[in-house]
Amino acid sequence: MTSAATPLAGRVAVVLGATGWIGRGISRRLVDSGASVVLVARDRDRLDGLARELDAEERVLIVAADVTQSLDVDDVRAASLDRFGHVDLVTVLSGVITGSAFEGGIPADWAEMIDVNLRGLLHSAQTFAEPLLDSARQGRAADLVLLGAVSEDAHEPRFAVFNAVSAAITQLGRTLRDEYGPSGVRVHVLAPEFPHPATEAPGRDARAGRQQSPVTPESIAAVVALAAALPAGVNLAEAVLLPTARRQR
Amino acid sequence: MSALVARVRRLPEALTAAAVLFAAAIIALIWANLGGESYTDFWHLPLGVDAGAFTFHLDLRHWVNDAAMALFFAYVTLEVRRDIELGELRDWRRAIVPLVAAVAGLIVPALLFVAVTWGTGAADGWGIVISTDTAFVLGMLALVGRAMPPQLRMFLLTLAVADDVGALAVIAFAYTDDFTPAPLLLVAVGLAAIVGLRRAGVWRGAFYLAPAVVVWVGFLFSGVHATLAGVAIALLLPIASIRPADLRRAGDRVRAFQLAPNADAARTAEQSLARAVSVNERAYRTLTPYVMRVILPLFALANAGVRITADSLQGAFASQLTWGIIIGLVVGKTAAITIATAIMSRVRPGALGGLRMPQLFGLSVLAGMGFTISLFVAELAFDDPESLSRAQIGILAATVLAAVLGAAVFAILSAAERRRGDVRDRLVRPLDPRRDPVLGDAARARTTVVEYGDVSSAFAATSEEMRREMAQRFGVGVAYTFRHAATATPGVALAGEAASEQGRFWEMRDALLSEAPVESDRQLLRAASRAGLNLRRFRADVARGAGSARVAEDAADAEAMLLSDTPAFFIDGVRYRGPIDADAINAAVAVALTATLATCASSSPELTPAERAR
Repeated sequence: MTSAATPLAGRVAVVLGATGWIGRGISRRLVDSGASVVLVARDRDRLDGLARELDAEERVLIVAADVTQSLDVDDVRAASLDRFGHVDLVTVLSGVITGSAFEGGIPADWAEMIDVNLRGLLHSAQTFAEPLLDSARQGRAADLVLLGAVSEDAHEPRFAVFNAVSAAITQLGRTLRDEYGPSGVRVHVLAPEFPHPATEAPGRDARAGRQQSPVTPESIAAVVALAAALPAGVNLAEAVLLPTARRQR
Repeated sequence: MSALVARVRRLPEALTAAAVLFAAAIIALIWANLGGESYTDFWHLPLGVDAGAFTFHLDLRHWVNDAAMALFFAYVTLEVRRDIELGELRDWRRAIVPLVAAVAGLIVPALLFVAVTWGTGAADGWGIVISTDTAFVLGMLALVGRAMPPQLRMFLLTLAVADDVGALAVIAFAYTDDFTPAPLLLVAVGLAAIVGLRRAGVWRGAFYLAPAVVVWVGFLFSGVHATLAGVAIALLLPIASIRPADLRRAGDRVRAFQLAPNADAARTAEQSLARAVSVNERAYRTLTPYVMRVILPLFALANAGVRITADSLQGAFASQLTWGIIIGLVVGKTAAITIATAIMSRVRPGALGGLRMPQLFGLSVLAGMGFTISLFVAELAFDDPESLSRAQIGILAATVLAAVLGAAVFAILSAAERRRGDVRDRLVRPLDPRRDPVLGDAARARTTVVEYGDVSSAFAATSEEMRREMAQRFGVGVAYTFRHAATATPGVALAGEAASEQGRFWEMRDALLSEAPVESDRQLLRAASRAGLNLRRFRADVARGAGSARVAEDAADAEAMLLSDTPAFFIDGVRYRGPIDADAINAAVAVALTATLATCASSSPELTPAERAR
């Protein structure tokens, strides 16, 4: 069934945060690799747009949901199982990022990052734990992909809170790996690093530098596809993606 | 004098209504026996309209019996519908006993009447003994049954409602003569207009008036008794429980009026307030004083005036007709209701909901008061003045006899009840932190508050406010718990218990409150999500009925304590009887707390209620 061109044929992937910069790349790669994909994001219009671009109607389901609402996530689970019968690859990409000098940070921004990046991820991981475990029990590969921090001691001035949350996600992934590994569910933590604008220019657009980044959504997607296609007995547990010409700090 | 007026004002509504009715009957009797024909002449005065070729006349008595009484029958029907859709009759398990008793109470007296009057040609009057006078019996119960549990009144209301339905059917089918179907078209047109108004969402009562008159005229000309117009119209008036959306809107408008107190805002606020309550409910409220204080007394005045002379009394008490009525009402009603209830309580144990047979016997004796509808049917059944007079004497005698006997039974019961002490106001199961979700520290609290309620009830918001204030005011001094009343929606109660499994009962309660009215499982899930529950476990717990034992226990306790209205509060194990608003309840809690602290200070300051109990 699987071939070199479609290594993920027969897999059912859920991409939470599908319409983001990274999410779009991963969604495309998964569809191209032959997987059925459930695209999840808050904005239905953008989901529609993405689904049109992907142009694989029979293998794509879109569900609008807010990951901070556990019932929304539960609805995604129900809709995915309803449409495709099982779920064996869950990619949690939903996240927001705001940066500033710490003393100038806005507490509401911290709350939003903790809410979306961490709590949303907890809802997603918990809600999909059951279908992933079911898939593993049936002898299928089962993967949970999280985006974590590059390393615990990464020096990212102006992104203290985002980094703290990302480190928490990394730590969560490690613990879940121990908890679910024996049951056959692989937990992967990917840590891509993007160059951040060097200037101290004010503004909240943390994504300004990444359009020129050598670490692209496509490269992250390639790692996800690779991790998912490995034989079930082996887990590509953590991957750090750096720009080759990264400056030492 | 003014002290007397004030005392009369404080009497229960039912009691004043019965008193006014009684007074009217006495006045009618005196008036009819003054000598001369003034009573008969007056009630035969014609009244009507002449408009060109069109003339329409009824005598005064018929204006009362056919027109004013239509309002009475509408009122009764409104009450029946309210009970069927929102009240006691909705719960079939509870309603079945009074319903069976009511049917027995319709049939047995009629059979007894026919047996006694057999062969006299008076058997046509069997409809006289079928119906209990709701107004009189409720009034008597309020007077002589004050020590009785409130369930007895609910039982009586259900019984009376079923009994009235039977009586209405009998009047419609057995006592209609000279039937001409054509005017029923008018009835259809009027009713259609009312349905149309209802569909269009018209909520102002005034718009329903014109089609109502059309319906009445149609019934009058058709020969079917015109009062049935009241029944038909009342059956169509919309009824619904209060919708939280309407309630919220009304609240918003009232607040808007507070901010800008002008005539426009007042009008909008008034309208939205009226709109929040269904037409049925408002019509019922509006009709109550007129029916109780005007229509029923007027009817008594127009119909109870029996000429009583030595001859007429002698004739009456020698006639089988009079005895048929007395035996039918006094013996028939009592026997039928008592025996039917006794049988039903054997067939369905627990269906009496805490009422005891002696109480129901007393009630069944009172049910022999058959005043209003009996007089009404007598008027329809008998044309010759002699039979009518005998029937009326029989009715008056039976009503007085039933009232006196019933009062005697209740006097004995009340004395017994007083000797037993008032056990109804005691909480049967003390607060137990191992089974009850507790707010505050049960081990350290000096006062406990136990609520029996339903999270989806209209009063839930009060409970919520009270709880917040309680926590603020008393801190750990007060432990508070919530239990499910017998009337609580089962699905909602179980959802609360499933949340309790995750230690989030109170969060769930708040979430359910913001979802109210809870009508779907989806709302339960949404509340669970909002309360921060693990949805998978929540679903599993609801599915396996976790905590259903507690729900059942709570309901059984509530029934044993005869809690009919929710929410019911127990402060330190004693039923709180004051108004259900946060301030009043918290004030009562403060009093209880102060009292406990005072006792503690005088004995041992460090002992909590639980420790002292040991």
